[in-house]
Amino acid sequence: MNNDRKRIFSIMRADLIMMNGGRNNLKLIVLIMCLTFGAMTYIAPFMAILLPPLMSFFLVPMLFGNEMKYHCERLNTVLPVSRKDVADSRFLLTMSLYTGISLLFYVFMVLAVINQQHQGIILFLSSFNAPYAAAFSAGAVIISGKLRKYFSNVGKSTGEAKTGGIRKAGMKEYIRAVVVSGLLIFLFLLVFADLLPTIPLLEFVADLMRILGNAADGILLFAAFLTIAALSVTYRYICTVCEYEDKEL
Amino acid sequence: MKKLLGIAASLLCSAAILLNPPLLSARAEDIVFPSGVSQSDFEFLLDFQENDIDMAEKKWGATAIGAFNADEVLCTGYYACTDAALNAHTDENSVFEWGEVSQTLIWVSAMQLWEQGKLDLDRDIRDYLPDGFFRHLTYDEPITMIDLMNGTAGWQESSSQIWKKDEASVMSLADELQAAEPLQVYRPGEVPVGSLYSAAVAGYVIECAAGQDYCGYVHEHILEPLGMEHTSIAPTHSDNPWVYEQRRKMKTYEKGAALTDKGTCLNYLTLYPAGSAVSTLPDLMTFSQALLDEDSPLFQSADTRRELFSATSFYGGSDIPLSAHGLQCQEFAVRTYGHEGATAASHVKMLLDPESGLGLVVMINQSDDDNHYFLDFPEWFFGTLSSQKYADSTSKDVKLSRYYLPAELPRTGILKFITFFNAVRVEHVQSIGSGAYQLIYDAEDEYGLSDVNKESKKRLIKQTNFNAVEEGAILMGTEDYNDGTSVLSYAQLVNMPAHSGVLEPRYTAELCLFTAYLLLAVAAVYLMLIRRKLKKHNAYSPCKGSAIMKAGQTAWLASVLILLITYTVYVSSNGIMSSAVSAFIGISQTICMTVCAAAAISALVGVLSEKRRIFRYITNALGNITVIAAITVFEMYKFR
Repeated sequence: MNNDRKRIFSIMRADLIMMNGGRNNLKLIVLIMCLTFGAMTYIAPFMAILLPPLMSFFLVPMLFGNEMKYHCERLNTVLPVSRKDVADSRFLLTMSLYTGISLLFYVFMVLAVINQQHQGIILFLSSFNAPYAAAFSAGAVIISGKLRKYFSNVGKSTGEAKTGGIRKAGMKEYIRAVVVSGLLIFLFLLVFADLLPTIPLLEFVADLMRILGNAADGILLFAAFLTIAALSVTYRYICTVCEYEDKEL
Repeated sequence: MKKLLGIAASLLCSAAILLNPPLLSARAEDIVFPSGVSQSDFEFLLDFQENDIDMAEKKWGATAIGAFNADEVLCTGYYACTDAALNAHTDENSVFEWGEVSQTLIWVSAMQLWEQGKLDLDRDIRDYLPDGFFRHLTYDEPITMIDLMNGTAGWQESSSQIWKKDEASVMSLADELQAAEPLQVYRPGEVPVGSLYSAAVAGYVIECAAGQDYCGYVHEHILEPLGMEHTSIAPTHSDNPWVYEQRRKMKTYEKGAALTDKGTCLNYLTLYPAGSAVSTLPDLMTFSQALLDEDSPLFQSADTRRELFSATSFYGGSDIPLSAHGLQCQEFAVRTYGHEGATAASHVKMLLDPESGLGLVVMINQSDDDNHYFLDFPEWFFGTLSSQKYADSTSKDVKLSRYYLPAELPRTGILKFITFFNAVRVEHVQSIGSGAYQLIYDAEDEYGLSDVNKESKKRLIKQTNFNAVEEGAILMGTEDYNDGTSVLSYAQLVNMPAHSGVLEPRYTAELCLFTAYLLLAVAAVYLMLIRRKLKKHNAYSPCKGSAIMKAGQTAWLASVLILLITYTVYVSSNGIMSSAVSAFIGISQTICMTVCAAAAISALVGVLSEKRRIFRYITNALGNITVIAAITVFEMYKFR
C-alpha cells in the first residue's frame, strides 16, 4: 500500500472514531435504521427503495456533525495531509458506507421478493431493480452535493454548527428527505403508469425508461441510472477538490 | 334538471336489474346472438349504457351502432352528438370516416374483377401497372394481389405527406403513389404490414385492370347497385355533395378526463382507396349485409363470395385464419371477418360472421377508441374466445422470451430507433400447435361495461344469458422463413385485430448500444462542466489532440439532440416527415459521425504515441466509436 492510500485510510479511520463520539452514536443509529427498514422491507419489499434517498439526507450530517459542531475541521490544516487527501477520504468513506448499506438492503429486498414469490404472491424482481437503482442514484447525487456543501462551509461558522449539529437540523432534513423521496417515487409511478402529459421530450424519456426497464430484467435501466449518478458524483468531487484547495482557512 | 333526469334514469335501470329480472326476458321472436345474448337483451344493454352513464353526450363523440343479418337490420343505436355545441344529436344522417374499412371496397372490387377474369390474384401486379411504376423495389420476387390483400408486399408504411389539409393539393392516385413510394423492406409474401400504401396500390391495380378510375368503378359496381347514396370515397368527398356537406358539420371528440372538441379534423388521404370512405351507419350496414347475403348482389356467383371469405393467411402454420382476401379475421366465441379502421376523426368496426349470417357495425367520431360501444359491444354480440376452443391434450405452456419489432413501424432510415421503442416481448404463452399460441387471461376482469361496477357487470352477464368463460384467449402465431425472417402475428389487446412483428435477435445488444450512445451525451455535458471548472481553478492541462477530442464530445451531445428533434417532429406530425426535415436530420447526423471519426482517429493516435494519460485517450476513442456505431446501426444518417 503506497503512502497516499495509507494517509487516506488513516483519515477515514480517524473520522470513524470521531463520529462515534459525542451525541452521535453512529453504530446505534445504523442498527436502528437497519432493523426498522429491514422489518419494513420484509413486509413490503418496495420499502427498501425509500432507504437510499432517506439515508442520503442524514449520512453527511451524521458523519461529520461533530466536526462541524466543535470546529475541529481546522485540525486538518495542521496535520501532514493535503486537502485533496481529506476530500478524497471523506468522499470515499461516505460513498462506501452509503453503497455498503444500500447493497445490504438490496439483498434484503431481493430475499423479501423471493420469499413472497414462494408464498404465491406474484412479484417480479425486474419491477424492483430499476426503481431501486433510481433511488440509489438519486441518493448518491444528493450525498455528493452535501459533501460539496460541507467542504465549502468548512471554516465558516454555520448556523448548523452554531445550533448544535444534526438534531435541530434533523427535522428540516427529515421533512426535505420525505418530500423529495415522495416526489421522486410519484414521478416514477407517473412515468410507469403512462400518466405524464404528452410532451414529446417527456414521452421520449418515458418511452426510453420503459424499454430499458423492460429489457434484460431492468438491468439496462439500472446501469443507466448508475452511470448518470457516477458522472454526477465525479463532477461534484472534482468541484469539491478544486474549491477546497483554493480555500483560505 | 337534465342531470337529475339522467340520475333518475340510471337509478331506474339499476333497480330494474336488481329487482325485476323478467324485464330482460326474451321476446318470442328473439334472435340469440353468438354471445348467448338475445336481441332484446342486447337492445336493453345498448340503452342501459346510455342511461347508466350520466349524459352520454358528455362522455363520447357521436356513436352509431347497428346489428343485422343479411335480410334485415335487427337493432340500431345512435348516441351522443355530432356537434355538442349545437346540440346536434347523432342520427341516421350522421356521417363517419371508415378509415381502413374502406379497403373492403378494394377487396370486393378485386373479387369482382377476378370473377370476370380481368384480374389474376396470383399474377405479378406489375403486369397490370404502367412500366417502371415502382422505382424503389428491393426484391425481384413478384408482388401479387394476394400479397396486397395479406399486406405482405414488403413495403414499410410511407413516411411521406399522405394526409393533406388542402383539397386542391391532392393529385391523381398514380402520381400520389409514385410520390409516396416507401422502401420495400421485407421480401414479398413474408411479413404482413397494415400499410395504407400497399392497399392504395391495390386500388390502382383495380383502376388499371378495369380501365376505369377507382372512384368511378366503386360507384358503378358497388355503391349504386346497393343503393348506397350516402357514401363518398373520393379523397375530398367531391363525389357526393350530400356527404361533402355533412362531413363538414361533423365534429370529432377526444375522451380524456373531459371530452375535448377537436374540430372537424378534416384531412384528405391522398392514397384514397386505402381509407377515405365516408358514410352513414345505414350505408355501411347495407354494404355489410350484401357481404353476408349468400346471393350477394355484389357478385355474379355465390362461389365468389365464398372465395372472398376463404383464408389467405394463417396464425403460424395452423389452420386458424389471419385474413381472408383482405378481410381481417378476428376470433370471438365465433370467427368473424371484417375490418377495423381509424382516422384522426373516426373509429369504425365492421364484423361479420358468415356462419350465423350476423353482423355488427360500430362507428364513432372520436380521435381515440375509448368508447364502450366500440370496445365492449363486439364481445356482447359475438361472445368471448375461450382458452379451451383451440387447446387440446398436447397444448403446453412455453416461454418464448423473444423481442419482436412492430412491422408497421419504420424498419430503415432515420426513424428506425422509434421502432425499438415499441418492441413487443412474448414470454409465457400456451402452444396450440403448428406455430400457433394463445395468451390466456382472466375473462371476468376483461368483460365490457368498464364504467359499471363489477357486481352489476356480473348481474348483467347472468341475466342476459351471456356465455361467460373463465379464461379468455388472445391468439398468436409465429412463422419462420428460409431467409431468417421470423414473423409474429399478435393482437395487442383483447378483441383487437392481429398485428405483425418481426423477430429482432440482436435487440438487447442494440438496445445496449443505444443506451451507451445516450449516456455518452450525458457524459459530454459533464466533461464540459468539469473542463470549465478545472480551467477556472487553473487546474486544466490539455493533452495532445484535446481540441479535436473536445469537438468529438460536442458531436456526441449534438447527435443526441438531433435525435430528440427527430422524435419531436415524428410525434408532433403523426409519423410524417417532410423530405427537407429528413435531409436536414440525415446530413446533421453525418456531420456528427464525421467529427466523431476524426476524434476517434486522434484518440487512437494518442494511444499509440503518448505514454501518459492513456486512459483518457482510450475512453475517448471508445466513446467516439460507440457514437459512430449507434448512428450506423440505427441508420440515423439515412434519409430519402
